[in-house]
Amino acid sequence: MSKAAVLGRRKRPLSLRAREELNGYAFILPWLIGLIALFGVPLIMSVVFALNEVKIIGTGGYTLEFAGIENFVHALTKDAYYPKYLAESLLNLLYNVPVIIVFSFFVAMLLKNKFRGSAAVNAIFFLPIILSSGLFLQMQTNFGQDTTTTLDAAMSSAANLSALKSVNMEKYLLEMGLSEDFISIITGPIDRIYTVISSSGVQIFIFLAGLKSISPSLYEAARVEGGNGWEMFWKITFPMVTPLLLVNLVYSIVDTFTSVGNSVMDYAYKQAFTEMNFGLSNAMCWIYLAILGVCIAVVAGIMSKRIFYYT
Amino acid sequence: MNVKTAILQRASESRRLRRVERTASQVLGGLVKAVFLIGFSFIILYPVITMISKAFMQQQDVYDNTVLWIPRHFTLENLTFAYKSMGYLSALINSLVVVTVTTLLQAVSCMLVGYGFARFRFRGKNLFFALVLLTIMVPPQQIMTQLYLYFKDFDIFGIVEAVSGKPINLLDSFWPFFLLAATGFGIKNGLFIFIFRQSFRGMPKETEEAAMVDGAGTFRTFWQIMLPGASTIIATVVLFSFVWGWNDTFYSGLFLQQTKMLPQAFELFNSYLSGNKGMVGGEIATQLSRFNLEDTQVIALLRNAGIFLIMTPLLAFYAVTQRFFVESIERSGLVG
Repeated sequence: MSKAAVLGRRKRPLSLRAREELNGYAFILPWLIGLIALFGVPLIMSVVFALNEVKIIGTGGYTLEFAGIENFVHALTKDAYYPKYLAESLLNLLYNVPVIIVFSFFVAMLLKNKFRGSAAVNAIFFLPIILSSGLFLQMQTNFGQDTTTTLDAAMSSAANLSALKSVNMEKYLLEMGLSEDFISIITGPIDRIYTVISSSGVQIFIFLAGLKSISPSLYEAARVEGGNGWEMFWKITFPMVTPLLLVNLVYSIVDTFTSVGNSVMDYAYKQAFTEMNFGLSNAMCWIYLAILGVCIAVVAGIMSKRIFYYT
Repeated sequence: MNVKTAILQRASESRRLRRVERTASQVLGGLVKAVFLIGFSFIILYPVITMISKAFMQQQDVYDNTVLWIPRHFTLENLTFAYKSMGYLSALINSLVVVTVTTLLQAVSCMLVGYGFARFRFRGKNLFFALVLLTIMVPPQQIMTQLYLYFKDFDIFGIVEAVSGKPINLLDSFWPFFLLAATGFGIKNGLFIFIFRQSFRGMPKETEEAAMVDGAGTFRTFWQIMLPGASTIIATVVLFSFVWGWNDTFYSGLFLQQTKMLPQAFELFNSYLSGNKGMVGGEIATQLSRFNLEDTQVIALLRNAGIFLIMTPLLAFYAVTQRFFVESIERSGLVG
């Protein structure tokens, strides 16, 4: 019966909807294979560890003892440091992400058009991407302890350099009679300008790519219709980069959450590799990821109405 | 006649005024822009220039207060020593092979997957996309033990075992990198998929539909219509993935033991410097004895030389790709 059924079906051309579905699967096929063959197992094992008490046996193996949500409860209620680190991370996030996004968009707008020396300036803004990744990041955090890397020393002195400057400004603003809280909002990012720049490298280039892919014909049309710069920015430039604005928001949130120096992640790995408590460590990671997921969902929810797609 | 010339005169006058106004605002805007860009550039360049200048300094310059950036006693000694003891050339070749291949694989796979998520409706799409976001979030450390074990006894559903009798050990080969990259699970590939999906969704659909109507198949539309418009995005992703692959200490440390890529070579070099002389072979040991390793400043000079060696190829790579960022979209005027 099956043969006839199959033949019968093949005679009829696939509907448009079905063809679209097949095409969709065809395009994401490599990723699906990776998900099933490479990534799924480690991910599931991590969940299993979080739900069990993991005991390492001398020979290099381990035994699992089902513990339910014991690890999660322990991390949140009995652990002395974990909740504190968690709160710190969240505060850090609320403070850092808006600054990074605004700053990187601003710089991308400055770099958007060609000007004399723009190639050189672009190259300079590429450096933070190198310096804030992998080996270089590790060097700033790990080797920083024996303070022998001049890279690290120079970076902190660059940070001091800029900190000095806003001391004057702070005084000036205080004399103008502004409240201290308000001043700290202004001077805070200036004091940390080096950190802000070095964690905005990727975002700047993502924005830049978005800005550069906007078709010039849109601006031409607007100019013919008599639009000015301000209007063109809000009606063309900004809507056209909103899809990548979401990417940048998500990336910045993830980056501040999972960067090498993050206290929660460090603490979780310490649980695993010095305390040998793999179950607890994985539970801590998953709680953290859940919070991260909620943050991203909130941001995506807020953004979804405002993003401009062609679909 | 008289009235007409008066009108014409006034018109040209006001045009001239407007032009003056425009150039004035342009100059002012350019000035503000220059102040910002020069300021930020200084902050970025300061540590980098310090690092580079210290890679070429001799010991005595560090203690000379009159030397700030330009070495008085210029030397290539630090560099040649770092070059030799890192085993630079073989590490460089390994890094180049792994990073170039993974970058290409990642770019292609992430592009396809991103396009799939951007343009087609299929069952489970939202769930799968949530999983893509999850892969951005999960730090590699969380799954590293499993990944290590997985590639140590690599097997796809028991097929390999059925053919050769036992699973293959893929560690110490480049296959783990290539497999992860080809399936879109390499370093930060979730982010690349996300970038591609967002930018494809932000592109006008009309040209695509026109191509479809004209009889181009799905893949042909993708290659000929979508890709040219996405050239800046592609360049960005290629750049990121090259840099991240180059600097990656995590996967390279996990999958390779005997074979060394640049980050491991640097770590080895660094361990020599912090007094781990037990592992040092004869020639390097004699070279090492020429430097006073009790002095942290000397160690810093050598380390900077090592960093310089790792960073230079990245800058060269940027120089090759940079025209995509400086040049605008004119070259790919297909969009819109």
